[in-house]
Amino acid sequence: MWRETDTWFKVQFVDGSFGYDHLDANGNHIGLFKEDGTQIGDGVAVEYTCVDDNSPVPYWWGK
Amino acid sequence: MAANTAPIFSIAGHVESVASDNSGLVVGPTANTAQDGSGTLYKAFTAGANGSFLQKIRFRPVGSPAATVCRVFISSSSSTSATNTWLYDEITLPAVTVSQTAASSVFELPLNFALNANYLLYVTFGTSTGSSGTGYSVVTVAGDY
Repeated sequence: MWRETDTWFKVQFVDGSFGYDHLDANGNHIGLFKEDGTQIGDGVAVEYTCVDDNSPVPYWWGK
Repeated sequence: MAANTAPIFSIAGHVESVASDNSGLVVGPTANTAQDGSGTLYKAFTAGANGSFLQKIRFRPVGSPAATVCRVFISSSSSTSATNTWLYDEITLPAVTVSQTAASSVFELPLNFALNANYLLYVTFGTSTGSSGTGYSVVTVAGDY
């Protein structure tokens, strides 16, 4: 569910690829996604760094 | 028979920060979800040659970090791996909004144990706290034996 108050971080994984971290209005993590919209489960070991803490909503979100 | 029946005390204070160990880095923007000690970990403390008594770790927000969990690892080596590095504890760090008129919340993880000589503490974050410079100043308060 899209909420205007949500925040998207653009992130870069250690392999150089990009993705998105979806946060609610209170700064709580909702979900981590690859750039193509594939969700990464909380139990999967990944490393990533935020490169934009006010990213536009990904094109695939809500489709 | 136990060799030591008298309490011992630290001989010198030892306060160490993740920033001092990582070129002034504010940690949190880089997340590492692994719980087995693999991947990138940030050094927080190195015990003295006779071991150290660890009192606590303080987490002071810098900027307005998003919510995350900080994981604290103990390692027997500065070359961390899943075999020599162990998850010791976690602390929930809620989202914080910076204010110039009120102190932001500070979070503490009590330790209160003696750490083996030359052992190390490392920290990781379960999710990113934001862009570069938005995260936590992590300081370990201890004393060396």
